[in-house]
Amino acid sequence: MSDDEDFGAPPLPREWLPERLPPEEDAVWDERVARVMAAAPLEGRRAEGRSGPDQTSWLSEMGRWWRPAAALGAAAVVALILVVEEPERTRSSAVPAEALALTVVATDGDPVALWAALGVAADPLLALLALENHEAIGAPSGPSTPSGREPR
Amino acid sequence: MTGGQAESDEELARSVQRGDRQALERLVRRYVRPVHAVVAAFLTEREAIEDASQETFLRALQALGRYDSRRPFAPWLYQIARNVARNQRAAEGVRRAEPFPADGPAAREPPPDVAAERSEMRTRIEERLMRLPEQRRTAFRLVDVEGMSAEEAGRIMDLSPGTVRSHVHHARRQLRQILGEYAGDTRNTVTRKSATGNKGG
Repeated sequence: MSDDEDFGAPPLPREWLPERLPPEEDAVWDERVARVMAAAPLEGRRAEGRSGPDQTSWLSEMGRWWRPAAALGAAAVVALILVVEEPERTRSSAVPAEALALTVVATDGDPVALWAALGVAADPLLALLALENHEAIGAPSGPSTPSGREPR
Repeated sequence: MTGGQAESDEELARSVQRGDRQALERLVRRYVRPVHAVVAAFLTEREAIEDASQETFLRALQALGRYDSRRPFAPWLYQIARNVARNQRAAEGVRRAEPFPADGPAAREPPPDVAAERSEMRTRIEERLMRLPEQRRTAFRLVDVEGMSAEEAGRIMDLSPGTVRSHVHHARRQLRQILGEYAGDTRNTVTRKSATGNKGG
């Protein structure tokens, strides 16, 4: 009760105050509860209760998580672009040895024709030396063409 | 009111939102008395208090679909009770205060003089109480009349215990002024009676 608390002013005499309501365990409250329950149309509330709060909470959850979700999505797109572009760049910058050997077959062993197939105008001797050098190493370490220029 | 209970108000409210009728009954049982107490801070007639309390629960049930159970339930219900009682009071006008159990057996127990004096004081205090600011009146009603602690009243009214204590303090001081007025009136009455008695004797 409030008597133990410090309110700064003494309480008024109890007998002058309005009558206190019956205690919680009094039977009168059972009647009041029954009255409320009898008037409560719960079936009508069920659907409203389900749709209302669920929608609200779903939207509010979306509102809370849209920033992290957007960041995660952006990171995934960037990662996807990098993964897809890397092999493309690898394929275009280096000529695999197998492809070169097939080209050699197709050009019937003619080094000049071979380099011409790769878009390089080559001196016959240098073309031969460059080709031999390439086969000995397995893969060119840099621009090692008979003309000193990058193949297209 | 809810201390130590298995289910919180908010959990019960969520169950009611899903259509659980037993949860509704537990929630109503938990708050039926506090709602009566809040409404009684606005209305004086017993029938009006009961009607407003019932209306509060029915409106709360209607609005429960929009209730956000992450927020405390008690202040939400308190707002509804306050609005219902305020509207009912405005619709009916402030009638003369009738003591809540005026016709109860307790009212007939004391001697006639004491009962009359008590009744007179109660009427005066209740009339003055109704003229106090709303929160002050409600805090006084919950704490001094219904015996709640400042913490309990604050939880319902969504106020800090310190604010509740402040409201109760000011209400007590304002109502205590009635004692002085009443003492003055009583002295005048006694003086008049004595004068009349002297004349007659």
